Amino acid sequence: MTISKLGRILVLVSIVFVLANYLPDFYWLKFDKPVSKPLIGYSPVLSQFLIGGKSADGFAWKDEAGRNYSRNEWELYLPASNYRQLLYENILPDSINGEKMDLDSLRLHRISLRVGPDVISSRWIQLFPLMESQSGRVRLTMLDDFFRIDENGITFIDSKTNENDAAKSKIFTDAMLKAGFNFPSKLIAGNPSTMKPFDEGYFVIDSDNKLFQLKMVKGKPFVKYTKNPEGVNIKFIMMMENNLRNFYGIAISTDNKIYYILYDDYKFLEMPIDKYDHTMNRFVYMGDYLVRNLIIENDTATANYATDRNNKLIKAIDYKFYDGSKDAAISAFNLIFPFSLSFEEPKSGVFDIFFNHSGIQSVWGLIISAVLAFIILRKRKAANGFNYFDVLIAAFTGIYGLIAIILIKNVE
Amino acid sequence: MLSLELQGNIKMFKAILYKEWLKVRWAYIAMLLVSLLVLVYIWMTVSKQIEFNEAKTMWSVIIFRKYKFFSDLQYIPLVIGFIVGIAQYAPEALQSRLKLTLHLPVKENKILIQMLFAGFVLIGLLFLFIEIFLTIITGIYFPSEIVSDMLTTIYPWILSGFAVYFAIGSIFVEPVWSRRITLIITSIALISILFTTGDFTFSALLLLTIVTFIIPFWTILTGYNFKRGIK
Repeated sequence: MTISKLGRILVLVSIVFVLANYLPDFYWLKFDKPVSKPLIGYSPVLSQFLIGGKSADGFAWKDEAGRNYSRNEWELYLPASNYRQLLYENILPDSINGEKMDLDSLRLHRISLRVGPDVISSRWIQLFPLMESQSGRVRLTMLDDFFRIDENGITFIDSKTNENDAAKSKIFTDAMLKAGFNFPSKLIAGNPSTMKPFDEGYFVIDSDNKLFQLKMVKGKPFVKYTKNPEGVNIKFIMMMENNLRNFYGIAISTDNKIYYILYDDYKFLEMPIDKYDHTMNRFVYMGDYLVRNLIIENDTATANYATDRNNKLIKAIDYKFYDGSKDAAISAFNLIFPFSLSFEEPKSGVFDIFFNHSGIQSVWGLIISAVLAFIILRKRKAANGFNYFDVLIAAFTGIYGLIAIILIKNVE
Repeated sequence: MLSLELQGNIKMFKAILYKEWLKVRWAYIAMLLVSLLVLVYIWMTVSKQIEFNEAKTMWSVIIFRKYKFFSDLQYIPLVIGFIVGIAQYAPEALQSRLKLTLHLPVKENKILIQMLFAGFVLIGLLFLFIEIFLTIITGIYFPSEIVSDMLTTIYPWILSGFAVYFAIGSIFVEPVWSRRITLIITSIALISILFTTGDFTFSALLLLTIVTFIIPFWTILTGYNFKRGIK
């Protein structure tokens, strides 16, 4: 191979790289169709799921058998999640299934939380503010310092001076060591916001996979080993301080199980779900006084596991909402584009290399590209000479390579 | 003991570096001043924001909202690469000086790559200056975690400066407009990938670096086309 041929190949590589990035984007800009995800809630009154979604005449509610319901009916059949509207209209029943509809309970149990794969994979600067959790004030306030945890212990850095607070750092490091913490940490999870009812500090996993709670109580460290279950490899923790004080938040394990972290001795309570993949699915918790809906969403279906307050499964549904409207566009895509390359992915919180192969369908596209390359190169033969290498490029990179070899002719 | 050929190469590169420096020095000094102005502006803004909003608020928005206090710098490397590239290559192209250069009894690739390497060294020094200056400013107000986040964030912006410079250097030799346009569009598309805002992983940055450093080697083809006058 001559050096000029090598130069041409580098140009072709650049063009293929750019086309594999942009052509699929343009394709989907033209052919993508919105698929609306339904809202699914369990009705303790009807003992079945009600599914709300877009229909021809706006938003409509249906039950599992397909019967239609009005918004008012939906509100009445899911009274605990719609209690404010029912209260406003003065039609909140006194009790449902023997449960008294008392306002405090209704309010306390109304909790929602969502975790998508983008949230789990996103990257954050590992500095955290530690609030005073018992200041005696109603409002939470941020202090001036932020902490980091590394192999030397926990270090508090004063944002005013950008200098370490050696005294405070030592007190907290000693307290953590005393509690059995093995530095550094593998995961620090908290809810660093003052817009929450109270502060429970952080859950921190040490280098031995032990889970600790760390908070500050009246200026002093509070560090407690939670005796987290062995064999549960924690991938992600979402903390959510709420006045119900039943659970601190949820933990997601690497093998795709979801647990409540309970106030009751930090017990891990596994949710009765399956089919969950934390890299692909979104998890939504929609809880009210009567039902806790545990929802697992993917691109084509929503699964809802309705549980009671004691985590007992009442009923589950796996509802396919995708109507196949994009199938033709996907098939055509796989035929035209043998692969795509991207740095962005809605399911990822970071920008990584996302290389997607179009699978067996792309073979036809590759053959067509190679044949087209063959024909075009034959026509060009007189001026630039025929070369099999270009046909190979088109056979492996399909439309991208074909465009590249058409634009950049062969050289001696 | 260096071989004679290598010694000759180094001597030739020194000569080229000097010749390229003479061409770009005013543009270069102007770009140095622009960078300095932007850096001082960023410095003053940060110190003002901390004075008005408290340091903890500033730290919080950087940590939890991914606020980039140095975002004014985003397109500066791109501008530097573009201006220095134009200053270095426009005279060659306009006055057809290149024909003369390339008729010297030296391989065209060697000269073209060395010209690009000379410019790379010059703008690389400027980028290094920007990085060091910004590291110092950031280090005054923020801990090392924020400094390293800043450096990873500006890395693709720095690459964009190299990419546009390499693209100008490779494309200007290309004699045929249709191919020029192809290469211009390809480089714009490449550069726009570098401006996607988000947290790139190490492997993504590595791939983008490789792709950027392929661009100077486009000259092997365009230089060949130039010398042969391929239509």
